[in-house]
Amino acid sequence: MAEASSSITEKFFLTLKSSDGDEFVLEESIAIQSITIKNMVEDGCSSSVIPLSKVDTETLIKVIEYMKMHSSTSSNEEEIENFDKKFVSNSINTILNILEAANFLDINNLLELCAEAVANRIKNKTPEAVRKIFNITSDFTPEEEAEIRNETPWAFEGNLDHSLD
Amino acid sequence: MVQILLRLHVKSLLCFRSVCKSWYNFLKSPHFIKLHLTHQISRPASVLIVYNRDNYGCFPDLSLLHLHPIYFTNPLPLPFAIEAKDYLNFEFCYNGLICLMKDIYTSPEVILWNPATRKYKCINVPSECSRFTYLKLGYVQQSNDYKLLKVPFEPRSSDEASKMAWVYTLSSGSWKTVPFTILSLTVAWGPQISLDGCVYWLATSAVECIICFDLIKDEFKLVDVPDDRGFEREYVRRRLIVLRGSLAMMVSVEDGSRDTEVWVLMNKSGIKQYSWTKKFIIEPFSKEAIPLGIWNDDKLLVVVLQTRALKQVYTYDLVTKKIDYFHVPKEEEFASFMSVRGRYFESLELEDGYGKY
Repeated sequence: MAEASSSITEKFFLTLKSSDGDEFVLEESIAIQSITIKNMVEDGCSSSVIPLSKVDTETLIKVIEYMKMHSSTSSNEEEIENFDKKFVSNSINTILNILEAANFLDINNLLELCAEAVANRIKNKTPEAVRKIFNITSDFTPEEEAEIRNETPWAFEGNLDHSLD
Repeated sequence: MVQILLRLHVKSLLCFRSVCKSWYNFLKSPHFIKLHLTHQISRPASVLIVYNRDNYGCFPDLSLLHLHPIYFTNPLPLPFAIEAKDYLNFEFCYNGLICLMKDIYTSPEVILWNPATRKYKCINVPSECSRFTYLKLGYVQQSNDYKLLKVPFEPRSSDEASKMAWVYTLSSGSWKTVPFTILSLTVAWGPQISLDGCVYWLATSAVECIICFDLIKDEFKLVDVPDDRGFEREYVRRRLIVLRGSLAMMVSVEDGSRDTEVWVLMNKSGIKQYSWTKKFIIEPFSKEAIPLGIWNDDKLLVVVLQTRALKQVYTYDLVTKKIDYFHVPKEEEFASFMSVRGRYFESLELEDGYGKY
């Protein structure tokens, strides 16, 4: 039986502002996949623009793209799967930026997707490549490093990957 | 960062210790090892299989069937040399550790072996401890410690030694005895389950029951099995699994003529107040089908063995009842396939070195 009156729900919109100053208007029901934004909405801080000082424009566009795909009722499982696959084929730096944003915005699915993707990309890399990817300078002396390699020499064997992406 | 590291294989983690001092210390810390373990438990596991190749009479090869993607690994290399006279015996696999017994007849030793890190630890069993005991291993979350148990097969009133169980604490490296007075239990079999500071296993006497050892209080208790009205006892097959963090039991009948029931132990305030709740009624399992435990979420991992070969491996979703088959590669290189010994996942257990930088 059709119910005429109750099916219309009002849509609310939020404005998200990136660290570069760009503003994005997004449906509230989509944006609240971010627990951080959801809490802000519930605390009544959402009437004006929501500043996301830790997320740059490029990253925010990607995050919004993800949230739209994962909330839309029209996208089916296969579509989402394909989207995710393509999503994580971005450069490792882009994914790291998204990962950081997902952590800040508290979007668990996105965080897991990115963490899994980065883990997959770095699992066969050399320690040197990992240092470069994460901007880490080794503080070991050559002797100390040799000693660590000697603890489990077999872990350094095999075809390790030197590339940075 | 932690979220990324949690998802890496043990080999990568060992390799990445050489990235910098803070990574070295963090990756070696008990905190990370525990986080990694918790993460691994929730992920799809591999199947541990045992088979004989050419060293028949010595120790069988252990290999893994990875399911995601599906392939057989090479035999796991034992980190120590063995001879036929060592009587090395596979006991069980738990938290990424493989538990072996050596020299059962002369100077028995328990070997805890982590194939992922290639570390192992030999633990001498006291000579006073009867060899008519079986071995169990439990994990105590609170103290992040392991305890080994040697429990008598059957306490006899004429033999005082048979009324003692031996408990070994990994962190202190010492054995102690605990009274074991649960009498006339003739068989104790099936997989052990370690959960919330207790170890559980099934035992049979006049009636079937679960023996529970409280790893914190060092006490044995009995837990009744779920009400089995309508089932002839001899035909009932029970199996303990962990489901959604609780102890659960699968009850089916031998000939597969009845539905399989999955009961969950609801444990509100300790073991004193417990009750079984029937959570799922699923299709009957065939005689050859062995449910190994939960693969991930609500999916049960099932293997089917036929004439010493792995016939099928599939997951069965308890909620949707959907079955997903794995295409198992041919195992031609196995001279003699023996058995499936449970679920395996990699862990960093036994890596208790702490960071030194």
